Amino acid sequence: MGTFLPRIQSVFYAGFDEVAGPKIVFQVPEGLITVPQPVPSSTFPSVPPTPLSECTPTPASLSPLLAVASRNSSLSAAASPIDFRPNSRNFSSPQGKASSNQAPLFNFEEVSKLVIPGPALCGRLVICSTKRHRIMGFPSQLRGKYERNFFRFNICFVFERTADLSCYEPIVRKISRVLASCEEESGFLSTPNNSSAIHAIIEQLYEDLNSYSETSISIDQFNSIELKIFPFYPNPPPVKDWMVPIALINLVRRIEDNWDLTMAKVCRYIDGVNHVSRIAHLADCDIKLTREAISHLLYYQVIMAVDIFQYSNMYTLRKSIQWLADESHVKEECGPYSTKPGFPIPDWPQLLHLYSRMKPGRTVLEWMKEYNVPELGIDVRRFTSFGVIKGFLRRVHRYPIFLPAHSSHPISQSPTAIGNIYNRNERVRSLTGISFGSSMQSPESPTQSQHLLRGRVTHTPIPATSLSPDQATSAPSTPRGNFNPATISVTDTNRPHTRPRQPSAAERILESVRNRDQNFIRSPASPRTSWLYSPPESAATVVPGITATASTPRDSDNLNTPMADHRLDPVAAVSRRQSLIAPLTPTNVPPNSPNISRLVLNPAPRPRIERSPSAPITRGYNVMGGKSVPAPVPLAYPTDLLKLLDGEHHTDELAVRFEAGWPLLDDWLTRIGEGHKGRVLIIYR
Amino acid sequence: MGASGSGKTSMRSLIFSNNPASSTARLGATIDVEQNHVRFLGDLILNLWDCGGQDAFMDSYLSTQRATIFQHVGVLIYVFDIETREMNKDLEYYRDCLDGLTQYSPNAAVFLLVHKMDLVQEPKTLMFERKREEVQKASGDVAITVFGTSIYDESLYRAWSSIVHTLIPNAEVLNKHLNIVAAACSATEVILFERTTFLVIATSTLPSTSSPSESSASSPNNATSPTYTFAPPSPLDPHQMHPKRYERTSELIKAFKWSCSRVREEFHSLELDMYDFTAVLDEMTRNTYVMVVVHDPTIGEA
Repeated sequence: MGTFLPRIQSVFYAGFDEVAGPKIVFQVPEGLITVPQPVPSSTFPSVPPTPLSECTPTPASLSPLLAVASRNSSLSAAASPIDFRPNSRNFSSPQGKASSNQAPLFNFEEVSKLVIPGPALCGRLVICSTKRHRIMGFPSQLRGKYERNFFRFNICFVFERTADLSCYEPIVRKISRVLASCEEESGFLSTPNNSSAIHAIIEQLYEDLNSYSETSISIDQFNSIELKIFPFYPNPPPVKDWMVPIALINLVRRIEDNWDLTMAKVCRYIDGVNHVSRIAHLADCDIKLTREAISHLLYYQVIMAVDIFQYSNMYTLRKSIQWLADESHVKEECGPYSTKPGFPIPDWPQLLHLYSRMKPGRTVLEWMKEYNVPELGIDVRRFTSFGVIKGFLRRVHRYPIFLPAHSSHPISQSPTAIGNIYNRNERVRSLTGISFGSSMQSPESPTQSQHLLRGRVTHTPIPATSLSPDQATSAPSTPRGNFNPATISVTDTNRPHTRPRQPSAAERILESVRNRDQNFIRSPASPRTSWLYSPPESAATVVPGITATASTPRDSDNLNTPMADHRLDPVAAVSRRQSLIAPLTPTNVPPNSPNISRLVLNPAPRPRIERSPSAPITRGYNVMGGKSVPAPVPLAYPTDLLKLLDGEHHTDELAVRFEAGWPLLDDWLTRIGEGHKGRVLIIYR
Repeated sequence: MGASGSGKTSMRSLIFSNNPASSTARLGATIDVEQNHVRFLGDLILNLWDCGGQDAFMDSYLSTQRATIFQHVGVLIYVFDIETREMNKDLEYYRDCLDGLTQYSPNAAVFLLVHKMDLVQEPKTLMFERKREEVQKASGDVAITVFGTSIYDESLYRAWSSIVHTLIPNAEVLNKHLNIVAAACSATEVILFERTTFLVIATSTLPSTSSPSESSASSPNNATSPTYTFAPPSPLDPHQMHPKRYERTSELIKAFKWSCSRVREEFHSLELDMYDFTAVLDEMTRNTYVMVVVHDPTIGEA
């Protein structure tokens, strides 16, 4: 995690001499940057052009023994032998010979046009590269009482060509700014007497920045240069409430007394299971502050954000699996990380096989059942999060989008707009193309076509429901992964559909109440349901596989009190829902038994992740055969939900926002589909 | 090209960018090469390279950039500061540049400008002659033309008009046509100027004589009379036209144009109705101005 700051190879101060032109005034360490130097004719030039200098001396090749005529005015024109005059130029370092410990890096002439550039580049950060190095500088041009009206200078830093220079940019800018203002105020740089002071400054910069990454140099009585290099990280992505942070280092151990209070509180709840809003709730912190804290941790790259683990999630492999599958660290770490204690660790090929069986369209639960995952003793949550963290597994989100039959609906826009939406999502896997076409023609009973498409939503078929046994079987059989139009027809035939008349919400609620009791006895075969309804005593055991890491916080005590403060208290939540119900369902809502049942439920620990107070397990859109329970309970959906069905918000986000688990959300989407003329499509992305 | 601080960029600023002479004091040193593209007569484009004169740049022109600098050159204009203290060094660089030029563009014309003449004490012609000899010697057998110039008087226009004149391919044709025009309007003289720079492109020959001080002579080998000699009006010239009228006209019109631009107006044309002559200056084509000078009092402006 340590940051690696590239080493400064050289610092030099270049100026524009009004007779000689651009030249290096000082460089530290000496001799690294060669400068063409006229050699007095008395000595034979014995320094051949250094091998590293990139500048080739001229077409005319002359033996190095020939004297170079000096351009000094002391030599009369007549005396210089024209034949010997170069065309050959000797390069030497300003001090006469290259410093013994290092070979010269490059020739100044290559970069002089960019170190002392024309007016267009002055006042801007300029980085130029030679074959092996990068030079970063900030050339300045100051107008003033100078002989040629301008004073030009540049302080440049030389690095290896491959170095990452982003953290030095502010340093270079600041140095230039400070020196420019010193020059403007007191002519610090242009006064000839100050050359030793400037030299000292350059030296100190070089030493301090390389050794300590910070420096404080006083220029004169009033000015000083204060610099500190901060490692430069990219800005973190925005933190969403549904993200689950996973700690990459032991955060709690590093908490110190002077830490921000929110941060200290929040850190304790980062366990790879809690999502952000839950952390805020558990830590008793304001959600905005919690988001900030998580954002900070993301910036420093000490945590990673994954998504909420649910059995209804779908994952898919990414392209990087091609090489990651061969990486030793992946192979070695996966097994131990994902296996529950007490079970033999499966070998990597087996795990890879399991990973490869994950596809969009197949939920985790289905996958588990199909490949008998629980028997292998694999903690599915850790298994999937391993893949996500290493980068070869990707969550496939569901993005519900509402398509009205008529274009006058406020949510979905005109047909062209819808087309646009789909064009934007390059990897839209839904059947939107086809459905769109068909729907526009017939603003028909949403039931049929919606149904067709909703079939895409492969949610875990809950064996609990006796209501839709065939749904359970038919859902998994819908074609997965390839959502091209051809498959529509397949679904058509598969779907036992034309959906019969849906049972009313009331029926469903009652059904759920009934089922709930059955749930408690149920085995992990229906993990989702148990997730939803864990009774207080089972708080510790919860869902298989979770225990390996952190105990899923389900303590009721924790929940009840803070809930009252921070969130809608359960009763209020219920009543919120109820109030929304009224305009939507025509039937009267007798707030009796279903509600009571709800209320009964609520004091029980609500599952944090799903957060559905009493989601009906059944997603009854495929409910067969009417249930005979007539009591109508309105379990309609919040009106805000409708607004968010624009294909931009995935179900996790909606779930967290409305505090509803997937089953409930699913149900709401169904209702929206049938309530308004139009359809709700799910896009997998 | 020329030594650092010799006045190259000032000249360029004056003639090609239409700045007044006073504004050249604020120019900074030229970094490496600056280029101007000047459109002449519609489709003739002059690419003017103003090369910085500092040692580092000169060394680089003579070595690494040699081919770039000296290839495809039409005219080399080398500027000497008459007040330089390092004449030897200047001459040395000059010779090197001449070498480079003959190597890559042997057919280029060479003009030497001895600049900053306004700083020289009287007698100016003496100093000028001395310099001229020096540079003549340094040039070996390359044909050169020497002018003395200053940005504060019209001599600069004279020099540059000559320079540009060598580059115009059909100067003779233009002269002939101007003669025809002059005859047609019974004008004394018709002069063609370039629109932006107001350099003289061509003139009609005076009806009675071809004055030796005309700069329309296209042969560069003519020993041009020193600018600062005041030639007595030729006896053959009935109107006693001032020999330096062309450049003076250029200079004056340019100054007037600049004054107009300061009040955000544009100069279009000029008409002078004096008691002994009439002169009309107006746009001819998109790129040229023409001035017609008529001495016949009976002819009015059309």
